[in-house]
Amino acid sequence: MNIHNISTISRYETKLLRRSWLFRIFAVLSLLIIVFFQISLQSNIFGWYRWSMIAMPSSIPFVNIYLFNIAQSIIAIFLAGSFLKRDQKLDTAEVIYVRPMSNADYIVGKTWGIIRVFVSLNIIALVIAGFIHVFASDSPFAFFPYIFYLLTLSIPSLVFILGLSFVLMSLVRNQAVTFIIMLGFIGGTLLYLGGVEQGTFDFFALTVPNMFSEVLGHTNLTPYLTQRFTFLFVGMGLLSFTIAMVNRLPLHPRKNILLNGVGCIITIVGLGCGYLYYSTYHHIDNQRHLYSEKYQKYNTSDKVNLLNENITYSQNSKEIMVTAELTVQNRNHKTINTVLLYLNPSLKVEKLTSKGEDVSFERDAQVIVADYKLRPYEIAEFQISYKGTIDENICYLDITDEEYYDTQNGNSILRFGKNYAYVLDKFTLLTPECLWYPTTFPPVNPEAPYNIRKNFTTFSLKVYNPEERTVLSQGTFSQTGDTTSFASVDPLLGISLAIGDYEKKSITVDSVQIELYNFKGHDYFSKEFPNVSDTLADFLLDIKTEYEMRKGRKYPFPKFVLAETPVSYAGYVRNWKGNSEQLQPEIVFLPELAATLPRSDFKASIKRMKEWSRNDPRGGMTEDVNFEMNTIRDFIRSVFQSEETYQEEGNSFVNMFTSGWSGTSKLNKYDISSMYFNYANSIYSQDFPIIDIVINTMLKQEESNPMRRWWRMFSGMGDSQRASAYLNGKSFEQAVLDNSLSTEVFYEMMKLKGLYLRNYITSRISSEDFTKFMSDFSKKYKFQEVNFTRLNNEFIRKFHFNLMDFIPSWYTINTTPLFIVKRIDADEVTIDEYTKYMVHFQVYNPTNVDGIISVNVEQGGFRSGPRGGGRGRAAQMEANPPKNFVIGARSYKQIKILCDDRPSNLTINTNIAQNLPSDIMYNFPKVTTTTTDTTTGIFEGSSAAFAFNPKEIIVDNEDKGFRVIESNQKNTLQSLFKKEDEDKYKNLNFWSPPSKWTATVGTNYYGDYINSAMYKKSGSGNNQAEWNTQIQIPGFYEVFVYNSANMDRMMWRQGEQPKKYQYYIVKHDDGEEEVSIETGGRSPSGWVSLGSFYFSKGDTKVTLSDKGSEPRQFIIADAIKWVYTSNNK
Amino acid sequence: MRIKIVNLNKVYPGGKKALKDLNLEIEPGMFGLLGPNGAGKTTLMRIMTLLQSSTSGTIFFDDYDIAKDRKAIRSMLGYLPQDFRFFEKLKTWEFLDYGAGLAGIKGKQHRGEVVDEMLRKVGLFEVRDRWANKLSGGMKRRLGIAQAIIGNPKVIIVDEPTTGLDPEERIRFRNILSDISDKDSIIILSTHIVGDISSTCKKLALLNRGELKFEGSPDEMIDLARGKVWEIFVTDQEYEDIKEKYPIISTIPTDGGLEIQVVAENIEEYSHKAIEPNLEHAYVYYMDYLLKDKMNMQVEAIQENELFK
Repeated sequence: MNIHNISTISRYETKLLRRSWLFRIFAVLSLLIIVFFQISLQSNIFGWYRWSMIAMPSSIPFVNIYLFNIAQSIIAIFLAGSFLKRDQKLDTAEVIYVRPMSNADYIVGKTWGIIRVFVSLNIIALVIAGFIHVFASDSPFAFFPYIFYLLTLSIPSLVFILGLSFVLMSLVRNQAVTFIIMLGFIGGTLLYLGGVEQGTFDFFALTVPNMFSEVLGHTNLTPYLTQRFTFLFVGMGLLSFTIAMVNRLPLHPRKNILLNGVGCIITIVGLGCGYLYYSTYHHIDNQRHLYSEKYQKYNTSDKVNLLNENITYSQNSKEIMVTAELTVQNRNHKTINTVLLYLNPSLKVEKLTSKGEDVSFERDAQVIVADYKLRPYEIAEFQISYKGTIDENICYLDITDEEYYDTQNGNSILRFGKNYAYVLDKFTLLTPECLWYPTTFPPVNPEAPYNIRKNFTTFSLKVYNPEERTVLSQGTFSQTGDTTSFASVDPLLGISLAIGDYEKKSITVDSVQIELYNFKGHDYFSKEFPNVSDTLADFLLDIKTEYEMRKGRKYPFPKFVLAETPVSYAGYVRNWKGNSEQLQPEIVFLPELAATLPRSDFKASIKRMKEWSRNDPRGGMTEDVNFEMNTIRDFIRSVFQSEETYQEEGNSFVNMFTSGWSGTSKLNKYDISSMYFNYANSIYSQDFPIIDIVINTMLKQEESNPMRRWWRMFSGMGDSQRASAYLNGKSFEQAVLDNSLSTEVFYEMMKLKGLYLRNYITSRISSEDFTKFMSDFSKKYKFQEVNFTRLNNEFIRKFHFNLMDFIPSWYTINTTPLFIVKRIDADEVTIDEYTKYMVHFQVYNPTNVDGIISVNVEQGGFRSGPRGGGRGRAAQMEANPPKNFVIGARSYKQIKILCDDRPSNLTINTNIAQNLPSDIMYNFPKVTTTTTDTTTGIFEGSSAAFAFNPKEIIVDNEDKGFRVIESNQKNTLQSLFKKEDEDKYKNLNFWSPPSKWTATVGTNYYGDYINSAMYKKSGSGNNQAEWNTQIQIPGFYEVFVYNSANMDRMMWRQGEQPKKYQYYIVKHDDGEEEVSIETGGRSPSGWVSLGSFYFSKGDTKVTLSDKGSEPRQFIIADAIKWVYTSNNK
Repeated sequence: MRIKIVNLNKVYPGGKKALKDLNLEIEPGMFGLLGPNGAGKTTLMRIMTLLQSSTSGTIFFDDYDIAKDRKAIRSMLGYLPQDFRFFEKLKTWEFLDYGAGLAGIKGKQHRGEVVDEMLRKVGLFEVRDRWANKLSGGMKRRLGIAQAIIGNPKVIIVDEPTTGLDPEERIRFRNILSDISDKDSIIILSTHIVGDISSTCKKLALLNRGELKFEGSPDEMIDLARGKVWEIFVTDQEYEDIKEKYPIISTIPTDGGLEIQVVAENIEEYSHKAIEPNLEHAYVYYMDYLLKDKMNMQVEAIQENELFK
């Protein structure tokens, strides 16, 4: 190749490109979009950014190149097609082609010209990003990522897309067809290919973790670069093929053969890189499979209990050297001939001795099979020396591949990568998950995760020569020379070790030492809280006390450590464990710079709070210290005290172009409740292994976040409803082994089952007695594994009823009841000169299984809602816990509850039932009736209330008589990406109502046991809903429509709203009549009359048009009622 | 420099024979390639400029064979195609600079000097900063020839250079070509405008239906037509009659009739006199009488042109 020729061609290609209006428009548009996106989401100009989008220094350059990469690919495929076409069209190629350059000079020159222009534009975009970064954002700055992403992300993508476009253009010889195919390829990559085989086919590398940790550098460097070289080389190979395909005679007749050969070699090198990348994950798959098999192989072998373990640790670069002394006991009722130990498979055992004598052993991956005979209850001591590296593939074998390889954080485009252990010069982190020390019970059971033993062990740890780095672990800390020691005060379920360049802050709260370790230079938060130092201890004590009151437990450990980890440190919340590995006894491992934690941008939080306060007409807070304390409280509540965390999910690109609600609640990895429960107590049952986690989940439950609970009533199918629906057909026993259930749905199922168990117990004994019993039992057996039989025996002794009478059926039942509730009312009753109120209703369970309802009456005219009332409601529920009633199969019951104060709301929680939503709510109007009946409780009910009445016909949207008529059958983009298993009932979408009739559920809708309605955006009137019925008794009927209380009057759209109407057509004997009914806003809810009409015997119907009176109005189709009034015509 | 065409054949996919066993030698100077549309001129030139390959036979540029020594041959070539336009968004000087760069002229300053000199030579220096595609038709042709001759190529191939030019531009263009032909280079001028050749070329070749029909000087060709060109005075009635019999070369209306020039072996009727033939007369005579090939080949030519694209 001739550099002079290449340079000449590229210079003029650059010139032509820069002068092209198409390119200029593209350049300006791209820059504008990128700048707009970055200013909106990453600068502090508008304050809309999320901390996770800016916390890491590489975030801003990454987002910049990420967006630019997509934009440049689209224009590059257009230009690639046009440059070949341009030359041909104008005959200009001929004067160029007669020149003495080679075809390689020509194509390379052209390509280099395009790359030069795009790289220049890329640099301009990066410079703008740099300005935003330095002058308009709170993101820490680093220069290197700017260069790194330009070279590794942008250029390989460009070379690849140019090569592919050129080859395609050379083959197809049609610019439009080439453009369409390439556009399809880009779209396919963005929407589908990206997620295939961990990004092997993703030339944008959008799905490959690609962020920098400030502590460790790039979090995924080798796989990432391998992936990038794949596309760089394949792109170069394709360019070679393009040279061979140019429609110009080569300088030498055989040169094309040579070029094709070179192209093949370069492409093969690229594909080889791709295979290397793919095989990295293939290897992980194999290892995970192997280790799972090994666990399975020894699953039924008898294990010994680990009583005591003293670990001596030292580290040389990436290798650890450990000596561990173990005291074990054979608690089986028989002699065992081998002692099983589990240790990370990459750690090589050098010596295993007992009482100074060598013990022969075999190594089977992570399992050490030691030839050692132990009689029942005999205790033995072993000393084991080992060294080596840590194989992370042993971790999380129970996690599904889909979740294991998913590197997305919600729907964020930033991917931080996943590491489960670190042994590096700069940082070390080892948790029990990676088997860094020998244990006698496997930490995980991939085959049956819930069938796991918890082994409380007393640990001690000595770490030699950490070289100025800080060592963190559980237990009491001491330092002798260059040896750091830890000794656990109580037996623990595991021990962790972190060694890093930390700086420490500590405070003592209620005799618990709270320690915060952040990496040096990462204290971005202290400066935001200058005023709280004096009051912090008391403030934290208040938070701790309040939390512990709610949980009914005291913090069980002497210290509480918060330790920062590199941003790539990953973990999963596992239902069988009840927490993630980020949460260890005494220690919470937090992400670097709190990048993925909610409410961790303290500066912005305080600023926002101050603004709200300034704008609060009632006069908000004024003291800085209050803002700071509220910010800390919000952070603690969101990060440590919340069981769930809200996460947007899905494909960022699909979400961008669709209006679908894609958020979901995920279990919170940093929820510290497990420290109070799961890490402190354990109940073992061979027959019902899940009982331990269910009881712990049940005990740590408190009244759910009131806002969330309230919201759930109106928001389609939540995980709780999904769990409940699952149990109508399958048992809890089946669910335990069902990998297809999401973590969140199963967690809800555990909560439902736990609550169901509690409700069953508290329908026979008082709630207070049960709570006290469990609290005493937990204290008595703290840090011990107790057999469920012991719990049951103590329960029988105290309450004289056997939990085993209920638990087997509770575990295996595979149908759920349903409850129809009618005649809810309240009467005044006078007792001892006091006016009280009797709330009563009828309930019918038509199914063949018993069920439990939990009834709660709010008193005092309080009206629940999302604004301000949440805490009040929780407090009320604490004072008046729900009453539980067992409703037998096929039985009619009447429930009567006496209230001291005027009832305002009735909530009936149907627990595990087919009811949707699971709560039935009723708002009491003013009580006007009186009664003398003072009996309370559960009584036989009357079937009359539930019998069919031909004089009052109701057709609900769930009934056969209801149908919708759709004119609009076209598919939306969203429907193309619809999941197959999507729920029938959808969330009410306020911002973008659907254009098709869509089912939704909510307590505000009418229904026997499914309170649902169909709704859509107002349209032209071509879509209709129709209620059909048969009149059996001719006469005048008053026709009613169920006007559902619309959400917009309750929530966001407060204030003056234009009146909205829905238009119904009633078909009656004298023809048809259109009746408009006001809806939403301040319109009355419940049955609203459409008028009185005469109906002969036979079919009739009411039709609702979707035309509405306002654009983007909700049209809701719920229920119609015909009530017979008289026969006079 | 000599060009030797040896047994050159070109058969297009579909079987159309564009060149048939063509043998020709071209010496330094200006060489005209004459022939009707579809005669194979463009095919021959595209093969000579290595824009397409031959089916068999070869061409030697001195000792360089087009089948093997493409780089050497390309470095000797300058080419101005028939339907030549410019990249949008390149200035006049830039277009020339691009060509100069590809012709191997290195060094920005040196190249600048060469480009300016060439612009002066073709009279475009004043418009050097104008967008090339905004130039007038004549200027564009001059820029075209400038890019073809920049870098002093030894062989310059020009296809239909004066089509569509006004007489002044045509003369100007011919003069530029004549200036270059003083040197030891070959200029091949392909055209069906006979006047271009008669005023510039020392030698010419006539192609018809892919075959070489004549090779020699313009005078030799004119000699063939001597005594075969007649001037006749006819009435309108006679004109209609004569049009059926002879190819008419020119018609001038006069008082009481028309003064026409025709090519014919012999004329006995009408009032006539023999006149001195020029190359145009010779070409018509050659095509109509010696090759027995009427000039109404328009339909075939169109078809051929489509095949060539």
